[in-house]
Amino acid sequence: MVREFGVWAQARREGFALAGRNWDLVLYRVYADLAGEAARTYARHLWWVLEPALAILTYYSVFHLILSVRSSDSVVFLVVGILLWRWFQASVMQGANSIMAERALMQQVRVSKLVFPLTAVLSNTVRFLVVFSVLLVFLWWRGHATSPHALALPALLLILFAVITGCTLMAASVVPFVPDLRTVLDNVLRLLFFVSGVVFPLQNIPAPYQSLAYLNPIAVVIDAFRDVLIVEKWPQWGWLAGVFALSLALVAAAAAIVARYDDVYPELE
Amino acid sequence: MNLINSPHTNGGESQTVISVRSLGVCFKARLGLFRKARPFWALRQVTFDVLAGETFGIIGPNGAGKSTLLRVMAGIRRPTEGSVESNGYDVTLLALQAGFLPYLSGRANVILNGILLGATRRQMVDRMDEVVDFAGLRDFIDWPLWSYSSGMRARLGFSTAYHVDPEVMLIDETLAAGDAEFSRKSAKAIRQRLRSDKTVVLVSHHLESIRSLCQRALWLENGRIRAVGPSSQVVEAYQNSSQKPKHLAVVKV
Repeated sequence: MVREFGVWAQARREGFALAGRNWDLVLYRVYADLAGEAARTYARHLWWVLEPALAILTYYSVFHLILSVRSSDSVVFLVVGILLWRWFQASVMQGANSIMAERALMQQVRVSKLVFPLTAVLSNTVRFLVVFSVLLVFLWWRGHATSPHALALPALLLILFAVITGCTLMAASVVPFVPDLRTVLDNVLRLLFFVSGVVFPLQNIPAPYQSLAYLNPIAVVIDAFRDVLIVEKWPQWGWLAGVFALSLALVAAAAAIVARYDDVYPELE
Repeated sequence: MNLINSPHTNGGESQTVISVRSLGVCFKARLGLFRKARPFWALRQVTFDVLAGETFGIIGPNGAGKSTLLRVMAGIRRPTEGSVESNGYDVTLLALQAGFLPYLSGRANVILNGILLGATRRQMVDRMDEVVDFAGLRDFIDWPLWSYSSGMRARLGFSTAYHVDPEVMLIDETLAAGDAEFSRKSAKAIRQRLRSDKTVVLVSHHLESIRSLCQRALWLENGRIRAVGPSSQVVEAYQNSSQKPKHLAVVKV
C-alpha cells in the first residue's frame, strides 16, 4: 500500500511561498474577525473596552465587596489579573474550536490549518492591546507603572503571547480528534482561573499548595506583570525564561501536530 | 470493467501533470468509544493520468465519487491508499464563494477568496479591476456582501475564481453562474479557457459539454473506474450503459 501523497509533498516543498500566502490569509481573517465583530453590534469597537470593564465590575463586586478578598491595591490588582487572563482564556477557547469551525471551508480549499488558531490568537491580541493601552493610562492615573521597571513590559507581553500561542495551538491541534476535550478544557480553564492568582494573591493559597501554584506558567506571568506594574520591582527572569522556553516548545510541538495531520482534519466529523 | 483505453496511455508525447495511482478513499463515521465505525469506500483502485494542456472530463452518476476525486487531486483530502502526484504543478479546485464573509465588502471578499484559491493578496489587488468589471459590480464593490443578491454573490464568486488562474484548474459543475446573461458570459469565458493550453479537469453531468470540451474523459461509478479514454467514446459508453440514470442527460450546467 502506497501512503505517499504528492500534492502535499509539493505543498511542503513550496515552503516560503505557501507560508506567505497563509500569512496573507491569517492577517485578512484577523481583519475580517475584528471588522465583523464591530459590524454586528451598535457599540461597535467600544465593546473591546466595555466588556472587560463589565467583567471587572462583576469580579470586583464578588471578590472585593462580598468576599472581602484584599490586596495592597485591590482594584489595580484585579484589573491587571483579569485583563491578562481574558486574553489567555479567549484565545485558547476560541482557538480550540477554530479548526472544526472551518470544516466546510477546509473541504473546499487547500489551506494550512494553522491559519485558524493563529487567527484566534492574533484577533484576541489586537483586542487585548487596545484594552491594555487603556489599562496603562488608568495605571498612570493611579500613580503606578511610572518606574523604570515598566521597561520590562514588552518582554512580559512577548512571553505571555508565547504562552497563549502555545496553549491555543496545542488545544486546536488535539480537540478535533477528541471533541469531548472541549468540556475538559472548559473545566481546566476554570480551575486555572482560580489557581493563577487572577482574583486573589497566590499568597492566599495554603502553604503546601503555594509552590505548586508557582509551577503554573500563567500564574508566573501574571505575577510578573503585577511586580512590574504595581509593586514596581523587576520580575523573576529565571522563571520567566523557563516559561518562555516551554511555550516555544509547545508552539513547535503543536505546529508539528497540525502539519502532520493537516490533511486529516477535513475528514474528521 | 469496461476499460476503453489504458489509463497510462498518453501517446508518448504530452507531459503528465497529475498521476493518480491505485487511489482509494475510505470514510469512517465516528460512532463513539464502544461502537466500531463502518468503513465506506468512496473511491477504490482509481488509476489515470492528466496530461499537460488537456481538458480532462469526469462523468458518472450522483454519489459516484467525482467530487471526492477532485478534492483528493486538489490536496484537500488525503487518499486512504494509493497516491496522487501533481509533479510540481499548482493544482486548485475552483471553489466558488469559498470563505465569503457577509459583513466584509465585496472588495475584501475578492481578496479573501482569491487567497483561499491560491493567489497572493498582491495578485488579487492587482487583478481587482478585472474581477470587478467582469462581475459587473463596479458600483457595489465596496458595499458589504450581505447587501448583495444571491445572483450578485454568484457573479463575484465566479469572477474571482476565474481570475485566480491557477496552473491546473479543477472545476466541479461551475461552467456558468448567476442570471441568464452572466451565465452565458461566464460559460463563454470558461469555454475559451478550456480551449486554450490550460490543463483542466472538469466534472459535469452535462455530457455534451464533456464531449465537446474534453479530449479525454473518465467514467466513475460506485467509486471505481468504468472507463477512461477519448471523451466521445467514454460518453457514448456511459450513455449506452443500462445503469445510466435517466435524468442525467437533461441536467444542464
